[in-house]
Parts: sequence; structure tokens; C-alpha cells
Amino acid sequence: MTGSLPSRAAYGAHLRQRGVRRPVSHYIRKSRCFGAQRYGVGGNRMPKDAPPRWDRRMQQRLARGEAAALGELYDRFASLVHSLAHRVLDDEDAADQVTRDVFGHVWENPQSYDPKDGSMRAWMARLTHRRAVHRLRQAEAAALEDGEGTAEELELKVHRAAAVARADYIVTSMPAPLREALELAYFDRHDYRQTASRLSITEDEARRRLRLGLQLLSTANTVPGTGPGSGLDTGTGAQGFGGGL
Amino acid sequence: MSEEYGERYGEGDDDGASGTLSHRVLKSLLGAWALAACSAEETLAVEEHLTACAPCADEALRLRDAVGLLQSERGLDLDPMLRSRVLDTCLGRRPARIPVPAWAQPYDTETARLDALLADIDPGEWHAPVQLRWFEEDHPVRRKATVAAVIGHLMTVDGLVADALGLADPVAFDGGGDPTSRTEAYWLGSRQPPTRAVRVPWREQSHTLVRTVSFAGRGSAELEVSYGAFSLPLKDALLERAFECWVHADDIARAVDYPYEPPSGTHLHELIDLAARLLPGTLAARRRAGLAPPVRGLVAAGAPGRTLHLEVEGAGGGHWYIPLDSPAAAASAEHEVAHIALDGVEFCQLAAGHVSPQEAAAGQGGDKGAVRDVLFAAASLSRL
Repeated sequence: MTGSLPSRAAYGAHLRQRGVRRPVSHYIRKSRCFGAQRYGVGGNRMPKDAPPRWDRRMQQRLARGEAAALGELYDRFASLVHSLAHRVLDDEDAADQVTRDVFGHVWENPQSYDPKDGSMRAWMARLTHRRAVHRLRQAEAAALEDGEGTAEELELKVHRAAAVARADYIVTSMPAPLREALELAYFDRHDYRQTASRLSITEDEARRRLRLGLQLLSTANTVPGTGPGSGLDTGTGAQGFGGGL
Repeated sequence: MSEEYGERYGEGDDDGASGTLSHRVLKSLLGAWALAACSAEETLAVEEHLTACAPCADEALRLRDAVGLLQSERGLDLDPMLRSRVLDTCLGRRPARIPVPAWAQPYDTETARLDALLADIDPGEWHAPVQLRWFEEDHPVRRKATVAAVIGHLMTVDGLVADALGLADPVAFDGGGDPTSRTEAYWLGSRQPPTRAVRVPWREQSHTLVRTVSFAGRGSAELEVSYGAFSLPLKDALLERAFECWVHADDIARAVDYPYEPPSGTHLHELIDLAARLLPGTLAARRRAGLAPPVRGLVAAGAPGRTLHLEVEGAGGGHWYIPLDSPAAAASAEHEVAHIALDGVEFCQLAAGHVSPQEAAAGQGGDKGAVRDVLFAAASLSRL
């Protein structure tokens, strides 16, 4: 109950270690949003041809073997796929590989997408999640055989990685007003009164948005068998990417 | 979820320990409390309440855990080269029935790279000043624009290609025109300065162009695209558009302090090749305009004439032989009278008008006049 907020102090140093040539200011600037903008869910930036029509057309074009459609698919979803994979695996090369696998699978099996099951975005997030978790499990199992850690630790790590990836997806998919409130309170460290004034809403409404946003987010943590929507199996990760948020 | 407890802990049930805040208010504070976003008094009141109210304590714990799931770091930007690797992997597994023609691939790649940059910048940066530079009649010209205005410029000039393919022009413009007048018309025509709203139509047009030329196939490669004063076959026009997309993406990247790499070696080679192929015609045009001295001797069409050896080093480099006397003359290594050696990116910077012919870091040998003519011709390939 007394746990503190996750530390963001070592944040810049952590990124600098990865050897990517970026000014630190760039990351700090970037850290102030949850990346929804990059995933193209930022409201007015959506192309006019919005889902589900876009999804169906894309599926047809992929089925037809149109390389240009594959490029467009990548342009729309690569950032989402790669960042989810990276969140689970915490490894650039492994995330690259999962990205290749996911797009390879979609390109080879466009018919396996069923628009009735939700958006193509949610479908791709599920594919990514499943593959990334599978890969993490394999890597951890290999480490286990080498005598590193215990089976319980492995399970915990996989569960945790699956949850944070689901949480990322939930944040980028939640209604923009909730996301904005969370960003102001979390990244900008505004209290709810400042958040209310920044968003020109009542303090009541600010409290409501913060609570609702966290409630949505907390569904990512749901452990199988402990409550409603408990199908959040870490092995498939099929839920939590419903796209209905 | 905890709403069901609302009745049990109804409005009347709040005169307990804390005494001041109702259960309803305390419950509404749980999100802010979990994010450490309420006042010290409220924090205290909430925590006191949690010791007495199990449903709120449960929820508080869940929300605190949820905060722990928030991304504490931004994911790294995608490696721009990943796109080609992923697409290659896919196409290796299942070849495309409708491929993107090889000559359209640099355009496809460069527009995707620029779009990734645009996805990354802050809304305010769309108005960041961008310095545009080029050469006009052998003098450097500068002009200030914004990120959004540059994207508008790219979009209107891409519109020349759209026009040639019979596609709708994104800008209300009476067709044709040269790149500069189209851009001026667009800039002057918009009631307000361009905003980031320009990204979507620019990107939709570039996607549509790639898609359309894929369906049109090989036969469309020679389709004429008019630039007003001259025209290029479609395959060269798309290389030219790729080149300009990279050059302006680099301008934008500088303006917003963002790292930006040159195109891949394969694509860079195609762009250099286009510039090298345009040089003889440009030389001739400069002679007609009195910007370059007249030819020393006449050469029959197709016969070998004096030749400049352009040696481009680094990724995408190679050797090009430029006929000096006439575009119709054949270039020939045996008739080499001059030699220029420079790095591929430096050559492109020269052709983009970003470095002056006098300052280009180029090794030179042979006929000084010929070297000068070619370097100035390269710079004059640039425009707004």
C-alpha cells in the first residue's frame, strides 16, 4: 500500500546506454506521452478511410498480393507491433524478429483475420503479444535449463511482461480524454486540480478520469481465475486486445 | 466494479473517523491518490479511510498496481531500415502478385522514412522554421518555411506525378505548372499557414502514387511527367521525388534536431545516377542561357566526345562518364579530359544546392573549365 511511483530518475541514463544517437532531450520530450500519437490513434490524425472499412480493404489487398498494401500495413502498425514486442522482450533484436514474424504471418495469411473479431489493429496486437510471450517463455526456459532462476521466477517474469505489454496497448486504445488526464498526472506530475485546469474540466471530472483510466489499465494485471474477464491467459494474451476500449 | 458497495457505504455513512470527506468523494479520489496527484490532506484522509473500508482498500491496491504498469520510458524509435528488412522477409516468403516497381521503391522508402519522422515530432514543431536552400543562376538562395509548409511543398510537387497518372490533385490547382509556381500557389492560396493537418493528405497521396504505379506496372515507366519547362519519364520523376523527399526530410530533421540518415546505398545509387544522367542536358541548357562557355568543337550525334569522369565514393557510389560537348555525344573513357571524385552524400548535397560548387569537397583533375562546368551544372539541378 505504501509503494511509491516507479522511478523515472534513471530514465535518461538507461536509454543512453543503448547507443542510439539521440539527444537526451529527445527522449525526455518523448517520455511525456504514451505514444498514442505515433500509433495513429490521435483522433484528428486518422486518415479519412478509418476502420473497419480500412481493415476490410487492407485484407482484400493483402490477399491479392499487393506489395504496396504490405508497405501501408507496415506504416500503420510497425510502431505498435515493435513496441509491444519490445515491452515484452526488452531486446531490440528479438523485437525486430517478432516484427518480421508478425508481418510475415499477416502477409502470408491475410484470410486468417476475421473482421467480426475486432479491428485489424487489435488482431495484430494479439498476434504480436502471443509471439513475443512465446519467445520470452522459450528464452526463459532455456535459461532455466542452464540453472538460472526457478520455474516460479520464470512464470512471474512472463506474467509481468505480458501484463505490461497489455497495459501499453490499453493506454494507446483508451479514450483520449482518459489518456490525456493520465499523461498530465503521471508524466507531468500535475495533481488532479492542475490536471482539471489544464484540461478545462471540473475537479470532479479530473478525479473521475484518473480513476477510470487506472481501472481500465488494471485489467491488464488480471490473473486467470481471479475475477471477471479472467481469460487473460499469459500464454495467448488473446484478451486485453479487444479493441473495444 | 466497486459500485455495488456504494449502497452499503452510502452517503450517510461517512461521519466516521475522517469526518470531513464523504465515502463517495474518498472513492472518487482513489485514482488521483494512486498517482500521488492529490493534496497532503486528501492523501491522509484516503489512507485513513482505507484502513476502515475493504472495498476501497481493494480498489486502491489494484489502481496502485496499475500505475506500476504505466510505461516509464518511451519505446525507442523504430530503426528506419527495419521497414525494408521486414518487407523483404515477407516478399521472400510469398512473392507479390502486384509488386512495387523497382524504380518506385526509393520513393516508397523515403516517404515512409519522412512519415516516421513526422509521427515523432511534437505538434508545436510543425511550425518550426526550416531553412530551404538551393541555387538559382549560380547564386545560393535561401527561404524560410515551416515544417508544415515544406510538407505542403512536397505534396504539391508530388501532385505533378499524380496529375500525369490521372489522379486527383490534392491541391485545388489548375493543373500543370512548374514545381515553384505550384508551391507558391499553394502557399499563397491557403488562408492560414499550413498546419500538421497536411500530413494526412500528403501521406495518402504518396501511398496512392505507389499503389497506382504498382498496378500500372512496367509499361508506365516511360509515361511523361511534365515539370513545366521540362519533363521526365515516370520512373525518373519518382526518383526525383524520392530525392527531394530525402533532401527536405533532412532539412526538417535539422530544424527539429532529429538524426536523419541518407538513403540506403542501393537507393542512393539510383538517385546519383539520375543526377548524373541529367547533367549533360543541364550543361547544354546552361550554355544556351550563357551560364557556361560554348562548346569547343562540334561532335556528331552518337560519336564519342570529350568526357568527364565522375567518380562517386562511399555507399551508393560508382563511376559515371559525362559527355561534355553535347547530350547527344557518346561518353567515352578514352576521351576523358577531366575527373571529379567525391562522396555520394556530398554529391547529392551539391545537386540539392546545399553546398556550393566552389566549396564541394571534391577531388579534381584535368580540364579545370570542364570540372567547373559540371560542378555548377550539378548545383543548378537544385530548385525550391
